[in-house]
Amino acid sequence: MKFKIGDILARVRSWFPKAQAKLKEHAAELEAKFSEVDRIPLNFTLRQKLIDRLLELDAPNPYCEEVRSQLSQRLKQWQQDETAPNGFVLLGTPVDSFSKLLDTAISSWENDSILLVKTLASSTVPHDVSEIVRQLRKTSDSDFVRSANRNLVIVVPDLSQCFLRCVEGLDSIDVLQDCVLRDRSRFWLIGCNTFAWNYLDLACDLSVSFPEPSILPELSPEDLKTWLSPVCHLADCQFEKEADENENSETEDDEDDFWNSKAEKSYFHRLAELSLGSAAVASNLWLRSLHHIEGEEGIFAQRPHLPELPTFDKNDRFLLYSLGLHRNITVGDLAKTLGDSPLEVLQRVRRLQSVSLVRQPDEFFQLEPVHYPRLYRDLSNNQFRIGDSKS
Amino acid sequence: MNELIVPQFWIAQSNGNAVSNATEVFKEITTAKILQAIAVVVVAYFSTVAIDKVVRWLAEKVPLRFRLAIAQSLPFWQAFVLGLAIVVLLGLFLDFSANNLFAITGTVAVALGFAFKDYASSVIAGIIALFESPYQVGDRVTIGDQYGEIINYGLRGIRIRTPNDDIVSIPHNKIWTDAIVNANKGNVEAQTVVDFYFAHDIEVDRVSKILKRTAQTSKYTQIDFPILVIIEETPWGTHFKLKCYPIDARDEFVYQTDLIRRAKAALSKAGISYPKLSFRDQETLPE
Repeated sequence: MKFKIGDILARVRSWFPKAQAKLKEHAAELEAKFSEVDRIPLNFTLRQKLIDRLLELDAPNPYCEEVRSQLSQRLKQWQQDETAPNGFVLLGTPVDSFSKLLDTAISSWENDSILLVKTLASSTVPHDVSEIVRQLRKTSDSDFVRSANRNLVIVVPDLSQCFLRCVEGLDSIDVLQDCVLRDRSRFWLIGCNTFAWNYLDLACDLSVSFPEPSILPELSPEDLKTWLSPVCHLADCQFEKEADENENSETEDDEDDFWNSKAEKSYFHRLAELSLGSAAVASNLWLRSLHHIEGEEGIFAQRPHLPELPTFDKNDRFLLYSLGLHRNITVGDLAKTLGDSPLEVLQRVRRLQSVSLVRQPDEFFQLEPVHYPRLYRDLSNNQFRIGDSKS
Repeated sequence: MNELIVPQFWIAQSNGNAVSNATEVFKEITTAKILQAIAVVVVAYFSTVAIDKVVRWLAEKVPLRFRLAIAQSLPFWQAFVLGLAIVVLLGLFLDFSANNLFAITGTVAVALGFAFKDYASSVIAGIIALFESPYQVGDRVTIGDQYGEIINYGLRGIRIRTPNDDIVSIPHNKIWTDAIVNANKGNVEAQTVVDFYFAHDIEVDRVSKILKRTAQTSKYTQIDFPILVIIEETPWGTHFKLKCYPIDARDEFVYQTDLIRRAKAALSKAGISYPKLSFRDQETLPE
């Protein structure tokens, strides 16, 4: 390795603005804590209405653009060169939904010469390996797929739902690899989270079938404002000014025409920074920042901040990693991945749910998105191999 | 002022036929110096205890990747405090002129050689082991018949915690004579080997796949470390060794249990048969 003094100096220099920003952030948080503004949380009905509206939002446009451009580019390579890979994997965080993203992206993808077949949609039998194997074989052997002539794309929306980390649970990945490598006349588009991808690549050499996975782009402050604006308008939310902002300060530069106020600009910049550019984390942080102020009309968005990670032990960490690995999972399946009894796992999950690390929107358990950035760092520091995207 | 009158020590040095001038080695001992010395000993003792507690506490609090680095700094900090205390104490009572230094070194060497040979050997081995690092705090070592995790690195020896939760003290001077088997050498991962025995007529590939999958899907496995299945044929059956690494070497025994439990469930489901031993076969079983 070459020793470069310039690199070291650049690194040391880069610490100063970071340290300054960190100090400023802590000061602002302390100030907000001790400020005399009485913040009142949103009532349940309004909060639920906003949650429903957030769930109805389409996937952010930059994500869809990335899917479409990567698909077009790789498909073209495969059609022109028989030795080019016949599939690609799109990676995102374990808290972002791939099914919706791929649905939105593909529905507006204009390419009449290509046929799309969706299989193993996450709504059907997640983690039931024998059923997944059966569906894969059925799709792969169907007359429609067989008759296609290098113009068919098979879409697997979320690979993390298509295996289970137990002794027989990787058989579905073997079958998928067999289908991909054996017949190169079909193209595969696969969505997967970084936890699952890193695990499957190390356990089953998945990158042999899907080299160079593509990572979803980080959403910029502008992207987040555009994406969240329908819900922001519904809530009619105003952005709280920070201590160092002037009253009624407006953005001055021409390039800042996009922003209505300095407060709004700084809010979304901070939101993008904290959320690591992930739509799921950002939307949950946005929701957490909303409140009423006593004596004032309307809804206000305070400077967003990441909640502290609750304390948890080594066994909780194994469970949280498993949740990330499979994204959406029942207690029974979670127990199989951990090799523990379902009752023991249920007790642990309920405890983590009570400290808001885990949520249960339906019968499946998921990681709570607002904790994802800090949880990612914690797992990485504790030697879990979870990939380096969005870090 | 209270002064203790002490006899004057004179040490004669011989150099060939000539006898050099004797030199006064000890300084005058006063009550103030004795109080100072007591204070130094007390401060050094409490500092060592405090360092021990703080470093151990910190090592358990930080993320896994930093744990061993912090735990391994403990003997250095303790050696530093101890060294500092010894220098201050010697400075209080001894006069370190060039001649005296030779005289003191010679006297100490003779005294240690006869009276504290083993103790001195352990201390010196401990200092050398700090730099040679045949073992460090947090490593899992086998020395003689003892296997366990090093939980303390002292002046004279180490303490290891065995799988039975016994604490065993082993002097450092074992490094001169005994083989030191270190399973993880400063890393948090250490290879775990689990033995499985089957009948001769089993499908070897099928069993290998099940064992490999068992390791790949254990929550304890460090997935980017190699997972190997080694097969050995014996007169009474086929011996499989599953070699893999846990994320944290401390989980070694629960990891082995997890692997055996899950592998047995999968093997039983697959109808894999175990060796059926005759009375004569039992004589050839490994220990």
